[in-house]
Amino acid sequence: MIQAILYKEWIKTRRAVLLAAALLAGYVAYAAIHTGQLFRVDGAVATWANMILKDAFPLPAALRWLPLLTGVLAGIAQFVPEMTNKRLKLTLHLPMPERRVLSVMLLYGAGTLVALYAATILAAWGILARYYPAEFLAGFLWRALPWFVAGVVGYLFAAWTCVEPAWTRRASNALVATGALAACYLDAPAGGYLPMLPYLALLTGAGFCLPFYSAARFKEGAQ
Amino acid sequence: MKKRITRVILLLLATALAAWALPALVKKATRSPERYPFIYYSSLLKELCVIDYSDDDTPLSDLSGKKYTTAQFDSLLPLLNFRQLMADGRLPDSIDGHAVTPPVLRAASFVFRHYPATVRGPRPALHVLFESMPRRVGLEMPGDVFRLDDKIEFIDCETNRVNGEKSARFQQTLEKRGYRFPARWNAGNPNPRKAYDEGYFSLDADGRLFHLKMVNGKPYARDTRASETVDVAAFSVLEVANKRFYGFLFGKQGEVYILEERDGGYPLARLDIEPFDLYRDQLTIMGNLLYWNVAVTNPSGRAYYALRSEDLAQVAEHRVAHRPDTWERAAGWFFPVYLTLDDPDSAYIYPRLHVTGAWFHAPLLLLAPLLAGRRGRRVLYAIYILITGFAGLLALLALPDTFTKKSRKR
Repeated sequence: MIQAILYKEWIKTRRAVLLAAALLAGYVAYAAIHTGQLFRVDGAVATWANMILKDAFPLPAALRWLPLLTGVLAGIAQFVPEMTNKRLKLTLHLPMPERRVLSVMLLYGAGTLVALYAATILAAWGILARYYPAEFLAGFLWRALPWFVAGVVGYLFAAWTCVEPAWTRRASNALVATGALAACYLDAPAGGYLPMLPYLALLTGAGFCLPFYSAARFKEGAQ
Repeated sequence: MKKRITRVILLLLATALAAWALPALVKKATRSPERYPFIYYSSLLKELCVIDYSDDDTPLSDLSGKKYTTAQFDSLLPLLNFRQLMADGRLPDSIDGHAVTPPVLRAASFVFRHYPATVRGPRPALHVLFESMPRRVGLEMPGDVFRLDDKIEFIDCETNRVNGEKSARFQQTLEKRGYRFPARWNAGNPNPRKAYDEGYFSLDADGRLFHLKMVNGKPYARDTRASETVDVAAFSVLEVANKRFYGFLFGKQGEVYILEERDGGYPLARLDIEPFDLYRDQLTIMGNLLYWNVAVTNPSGRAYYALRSEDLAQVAEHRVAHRPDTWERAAGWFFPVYLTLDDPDSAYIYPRLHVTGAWFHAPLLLLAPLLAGRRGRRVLYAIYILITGFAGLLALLALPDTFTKKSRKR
């Protein structure tokens, strides 16, 4: 049954997942060209000096928003079809506990995103490792990690907002989601977010629980 | 997952977000940072004077309130206004028996600032070691950077590989001088826009402060022996043109010293000021040939000190107490507890809980029975609002059915 649900989720989201993969792959390719050009034109000494003196981020700034964009895209692609003509009712009537069905659906989405993000980080790491020492790579990772967490949290909040049956609640869900995501985008030097990571893990856990609340409201027939 | 549990999770999340976002918005709307006066020691009046640059006619006043014109201001603070006096042809030949010329005044003038966030934040892991005796005028970025923790390694920028030969030379010199790895921290100034370079100061595993620099391409390392006098907490390198000292040394007991450069040794000279909290206090020092103007700012206010440059003995002191602004008063009224994720005195991001201890929001409790309605649990609603104030009230207004057995359908 789990395999069947996973297959259903894949059929629903394959275009969105491929689009997200293409966006992230496109970013990695652009990052490779950008970094190569930076070292060719400005030179290694000036680029490293910029990293030390200005705590510069070594990759193009679009990485800040790309995980969130792909996360929300995945959430919408996966859960909007469920709400069209209330198809979620059919899903929740499958011969499997409802909580398990929703868990599998959410884990499919979150797992797919984590895999895409891990591949992106690895590819970016591979590019940067040619040019920068380990300390700069660690700085890149610590700075980018909250943005990737925002991608997963954005997906979970998008799922929560989509599954919610009442429009007024959807609006308040979106407000809560915006506030929570803002916590991933504060200005900090490389490594400044380290003490925040356990709290971001808690936020991700809370984000995983919330769609169950809206699904229960949906089942009760809230309008 | 039980719906009731998820409802409570949602309420806690909404309350936490409201406890962060609401005060942040109120703070943005009401915060007016404290504007402390600019105070400088007059070498002629022999007292601290207040300077108000927005007053075109009488920018200077002494602490008793007597005002002085712009021309008097220039003359009474010759060590601050020497460029203006020179342009007007009014620069005296000597001040307090010290012969003064613009180059002498310029070489002794400096500004030093310390912010708590520099020690409450991630420390830089890679450093830049300039050539301390460059053949040409000005400093050039070297082609490598170095890491100094359990060993010292220079990494070539072009190849991104460790320069083994140079690393070994510096490693041997440090070991020969008694440096014990791993390093606790390293302090230096990697900015090439400075008069000269004095390299780095590194605290070794035994808490001893070492001076490390590169002279004619060769390693130079010395134990400053500062740790024999003081338990070193931090060091800040400052390359001032007259080369009197290497920088500011902070002791764990709140002492502030300069590490002087004298006959190849590193004597310490203590600044005659109150104990300084490295992790909370801001420090500004404006030094000139004869006097250093020190300002220490913390949440209770700002303390001004004038120190004699020669021996750093205090010659004048003045304090201005902090006055709470609209935000601080509002926080006391509306938010018994609130959250912030950032802090101007720290570079780290994480939730900080602030308890104002104010319970003026108690009338809000009257809303508890209204929210609870017929569903009971009024005490639970009241306690929640009492603890969380407006943030909890807002969350409960959005989710009134949290503590009830049956939820609303709308």
